Amino acid sequence: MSTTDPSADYIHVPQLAPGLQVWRRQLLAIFSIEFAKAMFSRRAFSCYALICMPIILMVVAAFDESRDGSAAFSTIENARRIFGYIFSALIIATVLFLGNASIFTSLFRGEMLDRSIHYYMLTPVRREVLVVGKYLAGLCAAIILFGLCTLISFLLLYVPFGVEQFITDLSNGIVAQQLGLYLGIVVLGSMGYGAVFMATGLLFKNPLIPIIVVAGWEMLHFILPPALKVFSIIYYIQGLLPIPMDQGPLAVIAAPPPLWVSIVGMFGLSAVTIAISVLILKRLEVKYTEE
Amino acid sequence: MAIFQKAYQGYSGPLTKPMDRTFVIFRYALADVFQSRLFSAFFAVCFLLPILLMCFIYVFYNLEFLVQMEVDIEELTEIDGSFFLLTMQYPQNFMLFVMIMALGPAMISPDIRNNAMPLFLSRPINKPGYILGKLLVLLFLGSLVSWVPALPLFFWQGYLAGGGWLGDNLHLIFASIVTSFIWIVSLSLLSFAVSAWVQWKAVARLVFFGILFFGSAFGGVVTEIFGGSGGHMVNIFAGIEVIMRDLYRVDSNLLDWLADMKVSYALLQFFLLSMISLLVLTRRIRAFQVVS
Repeated sequence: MSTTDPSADYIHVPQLAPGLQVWRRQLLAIFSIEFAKAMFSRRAFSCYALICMPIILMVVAAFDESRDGSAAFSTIENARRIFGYIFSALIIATVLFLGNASIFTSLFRGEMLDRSIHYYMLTPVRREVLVVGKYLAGLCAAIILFGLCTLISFLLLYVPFGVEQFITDLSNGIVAQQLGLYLGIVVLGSMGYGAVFMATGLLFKNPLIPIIVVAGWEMLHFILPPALKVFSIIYYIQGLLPIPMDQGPLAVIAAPPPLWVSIVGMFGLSAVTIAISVLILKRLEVKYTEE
Repeated sequence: MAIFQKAYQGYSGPLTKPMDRTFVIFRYALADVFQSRLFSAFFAVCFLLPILLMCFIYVFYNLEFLVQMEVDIEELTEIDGSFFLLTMQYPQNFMLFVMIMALGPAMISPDIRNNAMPLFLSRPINKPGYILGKLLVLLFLGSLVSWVPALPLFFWQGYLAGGGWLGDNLHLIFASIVTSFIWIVSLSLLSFAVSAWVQWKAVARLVFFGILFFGSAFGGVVTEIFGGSGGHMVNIFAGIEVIMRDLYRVDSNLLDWLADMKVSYALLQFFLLSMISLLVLTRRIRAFQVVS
């Protein structure tokens, strides 16, 4: 057979040398697929249901006027305190936690349940690119969903007080400062919980057990000694709350970490978890029959 | 035989009782449950608590042993409804919750996911029979780890305490049975509804946990902001607390946490939860499926 086979000329192999440019293109492709899945698939319904709850609660509180003739939002300080409580007890503790569990656990475990992970595995994509692409897509979806929930809930706080109060707070810098901190908490929380749940989704066939363990640990963090508090994500984000919440008589008080420690801590946790996920993925053997 | 005589004719032989067919579902589902070694181990662990409590009650009435151990008898708490509620019913409720979370979401989803519903329902088994068959598994196992081992404990305590203790505390038997039944049935139906809706076992377990976890937190926040009992209505842990407290006739401040809700509201909460779950179940369990 001749080496100059004319039929070979018709096979167009894309001239893609491995490198940053290819990885960036692959990353963008994975990101767009995963982002759409996280935002608009049937599984995202649980996240939309979750983010509706604090908004509904804020709407009810904003229009509440029947209790003893006094409204829930009697003064702007009271309204801010109530929002702080809702943010701490509902948005961080449940919406952010369960929402991130839902988004990030399904990044890999969901693909295995859907029996579609092998499509990714068969493509010439580095595992690092795959993990980073999926993580960034999940993170963006989480930040948009839960950030939007926080933003709408925060704006609803001003409904009983009118636009004047909002403009006054805006010009005083209260809105920027408080909303910035709340949104920052959402970003850091999504990074931390997201990283943990992505890894557990890869490590465990039944992700419920690690989720319950993490939930228990995070719920009990207030009674943990300071040396153990540093191993909980809530410790790093709760210290940033603009209106600190009373943690009850049993709480072990510990100084909140500085802002830079919280930021570096969450970035570090994400980097370590992504590295671990890449290692797991490189050794992953998919057996759909065991799912 | 002429060809026109070979047309379909309904079966005219003897029929089994409807409950017998339900028990077929029950038997197979029960066998599936015990295929998991982890569950078998957990099930065995559930019996440790009644055994330990039985030993404790024996030691409690063994004065010689207490004197030898130098226990101050006056410091010992009385064994009454509060004791059984704290040491028996609360841990049992937790174990029931874990058991139902492990089993319930995995019971319906495989049948729906694998398009088995038409096969079940083309037999002489109807929807209620199918649901009851699955529910009986959780009722049977749940009873074995809750009120069934509680009864010997009450009798043991009554025998050792004497003096008409059992006659004075007959309400404890009723309390244990009713509390366990309400908890098992409502949680089981909720887990079945989630299982029928979500289809994947792992995801169904997660959703079941999420609903209860979120309901508890949401109820707490609503109560904190608006007061009243509205918030407790979405928190079934508050509901079962109120029912238990009433049935066991214990001091309201026993755990320094009491849900300010009427018993009738708590019962209504469980009734509504069960009805909504049944509604979802009957909509999802159908004799026909679009095979994908």
